[in-house]
Amino acid sequence: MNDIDKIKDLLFGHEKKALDAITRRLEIPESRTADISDVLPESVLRSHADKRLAPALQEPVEQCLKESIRRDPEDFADALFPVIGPAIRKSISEALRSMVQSLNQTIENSMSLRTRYQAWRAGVPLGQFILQRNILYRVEEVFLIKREDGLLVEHLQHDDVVSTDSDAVSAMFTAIQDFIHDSFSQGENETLTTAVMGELALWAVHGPKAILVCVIRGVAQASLRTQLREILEQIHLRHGEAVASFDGGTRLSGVTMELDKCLTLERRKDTIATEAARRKLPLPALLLLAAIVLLAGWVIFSRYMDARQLASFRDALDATPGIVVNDIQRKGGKIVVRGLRDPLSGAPSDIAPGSQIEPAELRLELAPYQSLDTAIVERRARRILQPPPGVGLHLEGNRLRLSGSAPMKWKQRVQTLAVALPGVDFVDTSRMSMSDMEVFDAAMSELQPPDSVVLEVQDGVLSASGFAPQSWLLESNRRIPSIVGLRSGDLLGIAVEERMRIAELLSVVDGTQIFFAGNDILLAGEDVVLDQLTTKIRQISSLAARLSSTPQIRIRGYSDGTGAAELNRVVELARADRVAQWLVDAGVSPAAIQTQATGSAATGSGVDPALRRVEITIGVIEVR
Amino acid sequence: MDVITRKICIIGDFAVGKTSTVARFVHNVFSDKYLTTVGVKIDTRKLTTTGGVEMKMVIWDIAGTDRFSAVEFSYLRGASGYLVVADGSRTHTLDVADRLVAEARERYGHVPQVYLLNKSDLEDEWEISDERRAKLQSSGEDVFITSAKTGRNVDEAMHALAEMLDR
Ligand SMILES: Nc1nc2c(ncn2[C@@H]2O[C@H](COP(=O)(O)OP(=O)(O)OP(=O)(O)O)[C@@H](O)[C@H]2O)c(=O)[nH]1
Ligand SMILES: [Mg+2]
Repeated sequence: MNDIDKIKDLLFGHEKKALDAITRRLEIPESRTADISDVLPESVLRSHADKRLAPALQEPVEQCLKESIRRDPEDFADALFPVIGPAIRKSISEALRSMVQSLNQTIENSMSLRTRYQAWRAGVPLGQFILQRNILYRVEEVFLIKREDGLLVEHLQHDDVVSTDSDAVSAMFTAIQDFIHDSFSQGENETLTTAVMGELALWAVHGPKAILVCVIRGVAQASLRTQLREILEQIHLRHGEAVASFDGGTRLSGVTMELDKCLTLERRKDTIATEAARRKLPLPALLLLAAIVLLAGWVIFSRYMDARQLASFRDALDATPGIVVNDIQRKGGKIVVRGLRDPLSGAPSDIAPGSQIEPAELRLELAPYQSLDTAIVERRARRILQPPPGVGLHLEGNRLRLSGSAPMKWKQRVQTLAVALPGVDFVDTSRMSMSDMEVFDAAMSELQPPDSVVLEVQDGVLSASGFAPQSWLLESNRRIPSIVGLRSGDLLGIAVEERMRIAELLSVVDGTQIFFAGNDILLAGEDVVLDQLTTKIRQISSLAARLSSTPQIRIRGYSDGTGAAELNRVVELARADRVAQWLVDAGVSPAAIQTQATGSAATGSGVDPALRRVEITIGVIEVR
Repeated sequence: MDVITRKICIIGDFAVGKTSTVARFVHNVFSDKYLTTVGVKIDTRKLTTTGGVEMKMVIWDIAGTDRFSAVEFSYLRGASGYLVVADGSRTHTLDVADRLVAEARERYGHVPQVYLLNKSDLEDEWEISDERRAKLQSSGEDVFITSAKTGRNVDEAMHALAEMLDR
């Protein structure tokens, strides 16, 4: 070292050392890094303060993130898992809160009402009823299982729960989960979440590093799953790394605290009871509800009544012949009836009051038509045929049956008119009774009586007067039954003409006396009398023959007392025989004649021409 | 004193005695009846290692197979050790065991394991040659000749695996 150097060293030695040190530090990258790292935090803070850092870093950081996510998305997802779940849940629950609240309110109200009703029916106080009905559950055991190999990270259980080999359970659960997943599932992310056996259920929630499995007694609500998921997320957040590197060695003490929360998840009776109390409906709401129920009830009831009224009206219309209802409905305060109506049918406005409907409410839109309903066809027949009083008219099928009595003329008209009516193909008058006139006409034409006979028909009964020949009477008596329309009758009022004549003739002839001059010699002029007599007897005979009988002629001889009695008898007989012979000669049958002596002469009496006579009596005896 | 838990999978061909071995180890029982395992059955047993560590073995007894399916692979996931079981009276079950180990390794990497050549009580029917066994041992594997029936070497094999896991 020379002097100058020495002097330099003396003068600037100190500075040179410093300079060398600076140069060295600049030359060695490690020391520069150390320098910058000393000031970096401070300078970052500063540059952040004047808002230059964030824009400057934005691009490189973004690129870094993108690259990192592209390279290993799994890691990123795992890292985000504990954060992303709560974030999503929070935003969703915020969005749903208002809706759910009102929905809950409604459901709870209705449930509470129903519950009230059921409790009332069961005769149990509401609170107690809810307690019985609600299902309780409790988380009895909880397993935290390492996802990768099924090793049990931690297991907790209530003191009163019988212990099992939790390691085996944990492994077995994983095995089953793997088995089911590989056997049935297509999706990579599908996992076994529930297994139920009797009262116990296994609920599993899956995280990227661990599975949380709870043994639950009873039936839990779905919301429990969310709580379990939150706990698993906490575990991932705080102990994720520790769980991932767990090798079955030292237990992870921190996890225990989190798992302990699971065992507190339960629903106790008292919590439900307080909920039930909270659910009580306020009085105004109850009143409002009652009012609504009443109103709805009234509306439904009046609707129902209206419908019933309409239905009964429709039934009444349907039952009315000559009305066909196609449609009936309420419209603008009116009852509109559409269909068909025969003008002869009853008026709907007359039928309405029977169904408590004001005729004014009606609006009828009924087209006219001709009904073939029996009642209507009969009504139409009456209108057109105008039957006289007492005539009955009935439709049987397509046959119009008439009864009662009516003039012939009307009947004839009906025969042609009625078959022109729609619904009538035949007219039947066989049941009609006939008028007396008709019966009389029938009798006249049947019997053809002589002018001496007067017939009469009254109430269908025939009577007769006058006289007529026996032969007509006999014939007519046979014919009476064939007189149409006659109920009964006889010809007893008619005298037999022959009998009348005979009586007339007899009144002239009977008792005729023929006088004699002496013995059996006729007094002059008596032959004329005899001739007249024989004529009349012949007439009587022929009349009697018509009555199938013969006249009986008795001739009795008389004499005066001039001769001996013996002789007188002879004379009397001779006189009778003399007249009998006369008659026989005139053609009278001898069998019809009887002669006899009377022996009437008083002996000793003088000549008396009035006693010299015969007396003739005639009788006709009918043999029946 | 802390207990450490380990997941162990027991793998091997059908009827080699996997379930019997677990039964012997956990409950110290044996049955001649063959009830094939469906899916997986899990048992646990605690033991203490020479280092004084109390270890709880969670043993997954997987249904016998000569090739792992997707479900069985998922059972293997996260296992700390394998018990590889072959039936000494049937050499090909050892081939199957080798293949299963290879498959598991391919999927989940190296995991401590012990081989159990089971049914040693069936001396007359023994098939697996000594050379084969020696070859296995020389490749660094722990091999035990066991019998679930008599209980021979079962506990020893389990303890050996436990020692490997306590590190
Ligand atoms: N002799 C003898 N028999 C055994 C032994 N171990 C198992 N067995 C019998 O072998 C059969 C199968 O035994 P498991 O234990 O059910 O076999 P595994 O491997 O579980 O069968 P999988 O479940 O079907 O795969 C049974 O009949 C057992 O009794 C052993 O050490 N000696
Ligand atoms: Mg088995």
